[in-house]
Order: sequence, then structure tokens, then C-alpha cells
Amino acid sequence: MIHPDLDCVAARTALSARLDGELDAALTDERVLRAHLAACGACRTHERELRALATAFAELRDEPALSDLWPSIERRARRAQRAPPLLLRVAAGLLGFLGLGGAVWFAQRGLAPRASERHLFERVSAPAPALETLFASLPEYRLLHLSTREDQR
Amino acid sequence: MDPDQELAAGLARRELGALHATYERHGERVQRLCLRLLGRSADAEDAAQEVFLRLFERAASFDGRARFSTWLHRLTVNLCLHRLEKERRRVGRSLPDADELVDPGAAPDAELGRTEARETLARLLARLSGEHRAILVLRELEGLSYAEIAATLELPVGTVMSRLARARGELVRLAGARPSDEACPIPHPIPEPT
Repeated sequence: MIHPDLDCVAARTALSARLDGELDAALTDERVLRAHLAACGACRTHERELRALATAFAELRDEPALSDLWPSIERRARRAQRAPPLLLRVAAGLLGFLGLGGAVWFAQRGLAPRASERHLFERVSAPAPALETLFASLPEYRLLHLSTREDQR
Repeated sequence: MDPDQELAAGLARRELGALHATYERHGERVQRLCLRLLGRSADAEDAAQEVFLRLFERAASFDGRARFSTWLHRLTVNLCLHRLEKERRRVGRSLPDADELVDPGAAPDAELGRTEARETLARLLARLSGEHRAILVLRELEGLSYAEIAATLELPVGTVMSRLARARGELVRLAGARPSDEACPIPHPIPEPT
């Protein structure tokens, strides 16, 4: 009978930990694990597979040949050393981004005032009624009135 | 004073001498870890250089809560996992070509006669997710204890244990092309500790 306190997932976790000599981490009693293995053929097979895996890993554990990377690291590090510190570069980048964003915004907006701004200008700078007749004779004033009417249409 | 602490202090002052000393002390391990995680020597060399350059840039952020070597290995693993993820997104698969896994450039001529089983394992390892590959490499090839893996990956020990078990189960499944829980009579999943 499979031990009621240990299902197969827990048993396989414990088997993996036992293989690493870390069964304590699994909070599993060795006797409980053995009882599970005695009753569960699938977990016994899994245990054999884990052992075979450990042997195969031992084959991969040898030291691979490595290149000397220092000359390249040194060259790149010297370049980085000459460059301003990271924080400064980030701040400069941020300022550049904001500057570019502002330039794009101004370019899209153009230098001419929008219709709503023209209305505001007209309202703010509207001459007093007494002077309107005099100002109405000025071509610029008529021009402003004309364009505002077109906007309203 | 711990030599690593001195190195960290020198790096924080952006001293090239400190970077060289760090490379002398930890370079091989970093490069080997990159090679084992990425599988190809060209990628590994590039990644290892990147690790040391990042170290040079960011050493000032080392707060001393972890050991310097643990912090360096965390930086290495994270950089490699990031590269694997980028590669996966780029080519729409999780691994480099299985055939590229066993890298002839990574070994001297004397090793060319390695066993088929060894090559197969390397190929299978490369088919795992980055997360599973990293934890198996740290345990099986780097020989780190659960506590050291937990510190490197910033995970609870319980998560290290269960993730290792799942990674091994996945490797066995890939090797045998059968569901890992096929014959499991009580397949209750255990929630991963947080």
C-alpha cells in the first residue's frame, strides 16, 4: 500500500532531493519514502532514471576549454571608463528624448496659432466698442475677423 | 578583509585593476557558466564579456547583502536567461538548434571522443526552459548546494527543491518521450512554495 502521507509528486521531489543529499529540505522521512517506493513501481523506475541522469551529468561536468577574454574586456572597459557615468548618460538620454519630443510637438503644432487660440486672442485684444470703428478700418483686423468666421463655419 | 569585498570596492570606484583582478578570480567560472547555459562558445564568450562590463558599470549598486560571488553569478544567470528568452522570441523556439548544442569549439581535441550519451544529455538540456536549464546547470554542473542556488536565483529553498525535481522529471520525459507522471497512481500536484 502506498503511504498515505506521500503522493508520487512529493515522493519524486523527495527522491530528487535525496539524490542531492538534501532530503532534509523535502521535510520527508526516509522511512516514509522507502515505504512509498516499496509500493510504487512508477516511482522506483523514476528513481533509477534519476540515478542514470546523475551519472550522465557527471560526464558533462569536466572543464571546457575557455578563451582569454581579458584583452577584449579591457578594451571595452577602457571605452566605458572614458564615457560619462551611467547615471549621467541616462539623464542625458532623458533630456535628449524630452528635447526631441518637444521639437516634434512644436513641428506638428506649427508656429501659427490654432483656431481656438485666435478666438482667445480676438476676445482678449478686442477693442472697446468706441474704438471698433477705427480698428475696423485696419486691414489686419478685417483679416482676423474673416479667418475666425471661416473657423466657425 | 574579504578579497571579494576589496574587489567590489575597487569596481565601485571604476578601477580597471579591480576589474582585471575580478576577471582573474572569477572569469573562468563566469565563462563556464555562460557556456553551460547558452551552449555555444561564441555566445558564451560574448555573454561573459557583457557580464564583466555590466559589473564595471553597476558594481556601485552591490549592497553587500549577498556574497559578491553569489551576486556575480546571479548577474551571469540573469543575463544568460535574458539572452535565451530573446533568442526564443526571435526564432520562435525555446532553444538553440539541438545539433548546435554540443559545441566542438568548447572542447579541446582530446575531448572529441565523448560519448553519445553525453551529447544526448547536452541536447536534452538545451531543450529545457531557461528556468529549468539554469537550475540543473547550477546544481549538476556547478555543484551548488540548495542554499547557494536559492541565494543565486533569489528563490526560497523549497522552490529550488521542487523546481529541480520538475526539471529532472522533464529531462527524463524528454529522454524517454513519455509523460513523466504516466504511471503515477496519485498525481496530486504540490503547489510550489512561495
